[in-house]
This record gives sequence, structure tokens and C-alpha cells, in this order.
Amino acid sequence: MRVPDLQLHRPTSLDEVFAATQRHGEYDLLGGGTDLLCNYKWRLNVRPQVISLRHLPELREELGGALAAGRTLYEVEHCSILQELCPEVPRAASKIATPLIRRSATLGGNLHLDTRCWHFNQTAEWRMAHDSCLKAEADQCRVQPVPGDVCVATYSGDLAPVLMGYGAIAVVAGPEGERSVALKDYFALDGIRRFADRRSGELMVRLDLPQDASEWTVRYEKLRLRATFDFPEGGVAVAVRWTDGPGSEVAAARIATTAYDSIPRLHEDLAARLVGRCIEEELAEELGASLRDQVRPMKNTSMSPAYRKKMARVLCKRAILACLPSS
Amino acid sequence: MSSNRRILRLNVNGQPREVLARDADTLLDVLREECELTGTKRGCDLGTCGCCTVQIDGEPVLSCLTLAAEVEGRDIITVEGLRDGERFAPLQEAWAEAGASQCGFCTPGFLMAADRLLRDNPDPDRQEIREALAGNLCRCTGYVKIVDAVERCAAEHRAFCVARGRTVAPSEQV
Ligand SMILES: Cc1cc2nc3c(=O)[nH]c(=O)nc-3n(C[C@H](O)[C@H](O)[C@H](O)COP(=O)(O)OP(=O)(O)OC[C@H]3O[C@@H](n4cnc5c(N)ncnc54)[C@H](O)[C@@H]3O)c2cc1C
Ligand code: FES
Ligand code: FES
Repeated sequence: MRVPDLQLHRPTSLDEVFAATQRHGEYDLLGGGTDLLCNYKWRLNVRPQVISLRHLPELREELGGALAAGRTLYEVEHCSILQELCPEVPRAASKIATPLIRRSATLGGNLHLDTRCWHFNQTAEWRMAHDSCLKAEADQCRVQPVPGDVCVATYSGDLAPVLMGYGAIAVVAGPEGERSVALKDYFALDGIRRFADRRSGELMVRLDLPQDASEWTVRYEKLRLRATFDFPEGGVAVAVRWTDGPGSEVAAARIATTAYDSIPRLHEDLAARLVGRCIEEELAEELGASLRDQVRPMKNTSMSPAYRKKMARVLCKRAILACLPSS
Repeated sequence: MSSNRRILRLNVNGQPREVLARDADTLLDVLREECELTGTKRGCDLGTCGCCTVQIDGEPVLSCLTLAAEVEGRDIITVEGLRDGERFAPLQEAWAEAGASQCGFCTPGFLMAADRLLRDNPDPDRQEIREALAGNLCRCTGYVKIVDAVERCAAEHRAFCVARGRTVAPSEQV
């Protein structure tokens, strides 16, 4: 399989990136390429210009509690500062794809991972034989065909729910300068548009963690067929801040999911039910059941929606109980 | 669209190479078709098998998902670069002795990943070996002999170091 023809730009500063984005209307940014190049090989939304982010020192700068978007997942997995500050981020990184993919894959690419669907991530020949997909060549969604339909392809990035658990803030840079957006507000519920307020020429430079990040206990549970290679078929991150030390009453909580929607999603109503309580099996079971009732997986990944839905209860319960120091 | 090409200066197995490549060519395309180094295999071409693993500046990387133009000026080692002149590397010897290859298609990728593991961790246990090789698929062996081969190479290397009275790189063990 060949990557279709394209022109590669290798800027070495953000200013050069912005000059390239302004010169070329139709472009894609390239991090490690472990998502984009697979899509290009399958002729999925290929753009004629590709701007590499691999040679930008600005995407590798890390000050204090910041995670640079250009860091590879291997670096995230093995970073001793992150293991101290937000240990569930390296742990979740270690569950992504394979050790070989993690050497190239970047944090920025992981957060911007294209949404996935049974009808989209297929060869051009397969798509032609099956009336394609709204996100590729077709004018109607094959999963949920309704008038004026929105793409329901699944967001399958592992790090977003964990970073949301820590309250991460995305810092994006563009020709107009830098701006910050809470990661929970970064995504839009549409598998094609994907981002709430993406402005022309912008890219993600880093994620900032709030001052209190290290006070949160975060646990992430991932559903997949094999313990390597596979994207999440469901993922739940639970974050708690204790009132009086680990295992005491919960002072604040966050629950975030991936692979159940076309965005990673924060479930604020469920998290609120943890606040003021001590974690115990019954409460974890109750919240797991509520999460199961909330999620609406589509029929667009390998596992059946019914199973993924059932597993939301299990993943949520496990993640809540795993927050306890005894676990 | 006309194809965008450029002359790339690559450093492959310690040799400088100049190749004419499309911007869209992957390192795998260039290694196999321009450099005629066909030891690196094209399996899935999508990151799901590990057959195409090479080392870039010592790191094991999938050449099917790396654009060749992105690694200009970096040190690229392919399976052909593992051996020392006419002799197989100790890891390759261990592979043969343990019977870790059947059809052999996956072997180059496994060797490149295992070589890096042994440089980071000369005394890995079986779980660490499995984890380091979790991005490589083998359709023939069932993996047991592959893990045996890495263990065997590590043990031989340790014995060699003890006999020498000092630590040496696995590549010096010939
Ligand atoms: C076999 C296989 C298994 C996988 N399993 C998993 C898995 O289990 N979990 C998982 O989460 N992912 C998985 N992936 C997907 C992918 O490898 C990772 O998500 C990876 O982190 C993507 O990063 P990248 O740098 O390679 O992205 P790229 O392919 O370079 O880019 C992906 C997207 O992000 C955009 N982008 C990249 N960097 C930035 C930036 N700084 N700012 C704005 N946009 C940017 C690109 O324009 C592109 O649209 C898998 C992939 C494969 C091939
Ligand atoms: S050919 Fe590169 S991973 Fe399969
Ligand atoms: S020996 Fe045949 S695929 Fe591994």
C-alpha cells in the first residue's frame, strides 16, 4: 500500500508552521503518523499538503506541570516527572497500541486521533462495495441514517479521559497567538467536525495540568480484545480528591469515558454522586449501573454495542474501587 | 497531482545513501525498493504486525508508518546491519538455536525489537520479553521459542561478560 502523493513540509519553528498553514488551504498536520498515514493508505480524506510537527522544539518543551504535545507515548510512559505528578497518564499510555507504535505516536496525535467506524476504517475497495460512509465519500451515515445526519464514528483515544480526570487544559497556538481551553470543552459531538472551536492554522502545543493535579487519584480501565494492539472498545477514567487522605470521604470527583461516543465525555452528574461519600462496593456498583444506562455505543466497532454497554458498568465499578488505597 | 520527489540523504547501516524518493514514500518503501534491503518485511503495512521494524537512532520503529523524508540524517539500522561482517549476531544465533523461526517472515522485526530490549535490559525476565515484543506478531511459532531465544541470548551474553570479567555490548560478543 502506498501513501498517495503529497507534499511534505518540515518546519522547524511554529512561525514556519503558521506560514505553511496560511499558504496552503488544504493540509494535515503530521505527528508520529501512526493514525494519519494508515488513513492515507486507505485513501481516507487525503490532503495534498502535509505539515510535519516532528522538528519543532516548541512541541517538546516541558515546564513544570506541562505535557508537550510532541512527546512520544514512549516518553510519556517512561517520564519520571509524570509518574510523580499524574501517574495514571503514563500508565494509560502504556496500554496504548503496541510498544513499537508508542515509539512514534505522540501525545498531540493521540488527543486528535481521528474518530473510527466500521464503515470508515476500510480500504477504498471495501467502501466502494458497501456504499462508503458519511465521513468519507457518502452523503449518508451507514450506522445511524437520519436526515441531516451527524457522524457517529467513535472517538477511541485512551489519554483524553485520563487527562480530563486530572483537569488538563489544552494550550493551542495559531497565527493569532496562544489560547487555553479546558480539555473537557475541546471536542465537539460530531465525528467529522470533532473539535468545538478549532481555528484556522491552530495546533496543540501542550497540556497544562492544574496546580492541584497531584492531589487527585485517577484510575483508568480499558476494554479491549487483546492486551496489546487493540483500540479501546470502552474506557472509563475515575478521578477523586479526598477530604482527609486516601480512602476518606470524596471531596471532588470526575468520571470520563472514551470509545462510547464521538468524543471523550465527562459525566459530571455521576461524579457529583461520589462527592461527600466514602467509596464502597455498593456505591461503585450503583454508579457503574448508572453509567451503563447513560452510554449509547453505536454498532461501529468490533464488539457489540450491547456488550460494550454492559462493560461500562464493570469498567466504572473497577475504576472507582481501584481509587481506594487498599486496591 | 504531480508527484513530489526529493533526493534524500539517509544513513543506513552505517553507510551514507542518496535516494530519489517521493515525499509520500515510507521508510519501508525506500529501504526495500531503493536501497534493496529486503530483510525488512512488508506485512500489514498498517502498524499491526511489527514485521517492518527497524532502528532509528537505536529506537525500534515501524518503517511502514514512517515517512522516509522524516528520518533524513538519522542513523537507520535494518536487520542486515545486525550481523557483524560474515558472522550472525549472537541474537540471530540464539534465534536459530532455539528454533524461533519457522517461515521467518516475522523474524527481522522481532530481532530489531529484541536487540533494543537487550541493550536496555541485559537480564530481562520472560514477562519483560513478552512486553517488549508485544508489537510483533508471529503466525507460526506460538511465541514460546521466540521468548526462549531472547532468554538464551541474554544468558549467553551474561556468561560471556563473566568470562571476560567486564560488561560488553552484545554486538561485541563474537
Ligand atoms: C495498530 C494500532 C493500534 C492502535 N491502538 C491505539 C490504542 O489502543 N489507543 C489509542 O489511543 N490509539 C491507538 N492507535 C492510534 C494511534 O497510534 C495513537 O492514537 C497515536 O497516539 C496517534 O499519534 P500520532 O502522533 O501518531 O498521530 P498522527 O497520525 O500523526 O496524527 C493523528 C491526528 O492528530 C493530528 N495532530 C497530531 N499532532 C497534533 C497537534 N500537536 N495539534 C493538532 N493536531 C495534531 C493530525 O493532524 C492527525 O489528524 C493505534 C494505532 C494503530 C495503527
Ligand atoms: S508492516 Fe509495518 S507493522 Fe506490519
Ligand atoms: S516464523 Fe512465520 S510468522 Fe513468525
